Amino acid sequence: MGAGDFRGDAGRLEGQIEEMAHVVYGLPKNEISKTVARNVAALLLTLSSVKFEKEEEPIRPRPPEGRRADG
Amino acid sequence: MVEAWRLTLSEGLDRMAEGSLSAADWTRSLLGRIDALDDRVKAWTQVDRQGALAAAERVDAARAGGEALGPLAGAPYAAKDIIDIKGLRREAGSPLYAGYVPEEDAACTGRLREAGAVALGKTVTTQFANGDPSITRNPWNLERSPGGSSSGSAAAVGAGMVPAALGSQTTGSTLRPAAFCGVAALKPTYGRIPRNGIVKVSWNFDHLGIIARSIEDIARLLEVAAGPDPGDHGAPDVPVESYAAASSPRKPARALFYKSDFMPRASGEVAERITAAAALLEENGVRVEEGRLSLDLDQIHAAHFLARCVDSATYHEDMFIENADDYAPAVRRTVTTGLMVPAVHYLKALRLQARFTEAMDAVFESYDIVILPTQVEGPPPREESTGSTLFNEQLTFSGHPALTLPVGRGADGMPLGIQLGGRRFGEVDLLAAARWCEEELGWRAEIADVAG
Repeated sequence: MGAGDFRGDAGRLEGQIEEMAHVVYGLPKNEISKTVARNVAALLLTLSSVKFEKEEEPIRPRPPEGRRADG
Repeated sequence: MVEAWRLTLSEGLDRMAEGSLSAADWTRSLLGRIDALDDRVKAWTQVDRQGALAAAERVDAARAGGEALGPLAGAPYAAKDIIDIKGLRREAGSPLYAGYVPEEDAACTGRLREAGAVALGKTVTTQFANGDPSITRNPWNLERSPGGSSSGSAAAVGAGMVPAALGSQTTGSTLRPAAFCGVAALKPTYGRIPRNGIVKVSWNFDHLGIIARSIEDIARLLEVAAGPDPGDHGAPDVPVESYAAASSPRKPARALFYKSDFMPRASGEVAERITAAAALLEENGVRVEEGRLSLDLDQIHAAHFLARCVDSATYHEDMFIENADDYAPAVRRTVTTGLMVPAVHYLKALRLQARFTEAMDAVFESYDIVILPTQVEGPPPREESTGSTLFNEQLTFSGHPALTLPVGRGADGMPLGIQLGGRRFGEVDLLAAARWCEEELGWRAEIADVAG
C-alpha cells in the first residue's frame, strides 16, 4: 500500500496513532486508548477534508482595527 | 427590607455607598445563606469565613474613616477552584493537588483584591476543568446537573450564596453552567482577562469568565479584571473601557440568528424558545436576519477538540504518565486524545481557528450581535454528564465575546439560556445589548428556591 492509498483508512489510522502514543509517550494500550484512537481517527479525517491555502498561517488574527492600543 | 444575600452586586455596592448596608453585614448574610444551603447544593470547596469578614470589616472601617475606596469595595465574590487566591487552597478538583495553597493571587483575583472585593471562598470545579461531573447540584433541581466545569460558581450564584463568581471557559464551562443554573454570564474576548494564576486546560482556548445575576454586575467586575498583563502573552494591549458606565442599555440595530446551524441539533423546547426569543427581538425593533456559520459545526468541533486536547496533553504529560489512575475518566480521555494527534493536524486546527476568527470578524462588520442557543438541551441528570458543549465551541474557538441570559424555563421548570456574541474586544456594545434585553425583554436571572 502506498502513502496515497493510506488516506482515509480509519481502521489502520486508529492502530497507528495508538501505537505512536504507546511508543513515544508510554501510554498503555487498553480499552480507553482503543476507544480514544477510534474517535481521534475520525476527527483527523474530518480535518483532512478541509483544504487550506498554502500561505494560511495558524495564528489568530490581530484585534480588529480601532480596538488596539497601537492601532 | 430585602435580606442582603438577595442583592445583586450592584445593588449591594449602591446600598453601601448610601450607608444603608455595611460590607460586614452583607458578608454575614451570605455566609448564613451558605450555611443554610451548601450541604445540599455542594457548591463550595472552601469558605473563608474569617478572611472574608476581616476584609469586609476593613472596608467598613476605611469607609467610616473617609478613606478612598476601590470600585468593588466590600463586594463579595467567589472563584472557581482552578483560580489562585493567595492563602486559599487550590486543588482543581484533583487529588494530585490536594492541600496546595498558592502564595500569590492570580492576576484577576489580585485585581479584584486591589479594588476592594471580598473573596468568600473557592467553588467546585470538575476535575481539571474537564467533563467529569462534580459533586455540585443544580439549585433548581438537586438531581440535575449544574453544568460544568464551573459547576460551583454557577450553582452558588444561582442559589443566592454569592452575587458573582469567576469561572473559566475552554469550551462551554462558563456559559453552559450559568444557563443551567438560571443566571447570566460573560466569556469575554480571548485574552481580555489575563490567565496567569489559573490551572490551564488549553493555552489556545482558555478564557476567564464572569457569572452573576445582572449584566451590570458583570460589567463592573470586567472593568476591574480586564487588561493586559506581562504574565499572559495571550492578553493583548487593548485599552480597558469603562464597561459599567459605557454599557447602559442600548438596543442592538442588527442581529444575525444562526437558525439553521443550531436549531436542528437542539432539543425541541430549546429550539422553540430560542426561535421565539429571536422573534421577540424583531418585534421590539431589532432587525434580525438568518445566516449560517462559515464552517460546519463538525469541522469546528474537530479542530477545537483536537487542539484543546493537545494543549492539555502537553500541560499534563509527565504528571499523567506517572499518575494516570488519579485522573478522572474525561480528563484521561482528553490527555490520551492529545497524545495521539499528529503535529500537522494540530496546526491544521489552528489554521482553521485563524480562518474562522477572521470570518467572524467580518460578520461583526455588519451585525451588532449574533444569536444562538447556550445549551443543546436542559440539564441532564447530575451523575450522568455536565451536558453537551456543542453550542459553546464556536465563539470559544474564535475568541469572540459571548454571554448568556436566562430566557425562560423548560417544561420541567429548568432554566434555559440564550447566547449572544459580539465583536472582539467589543464588550461594551455586547453588554449594552444584553442590558437592553434584560430591561426591555425581561431576560433576567432569578434566585433558585432550593428544595429540601
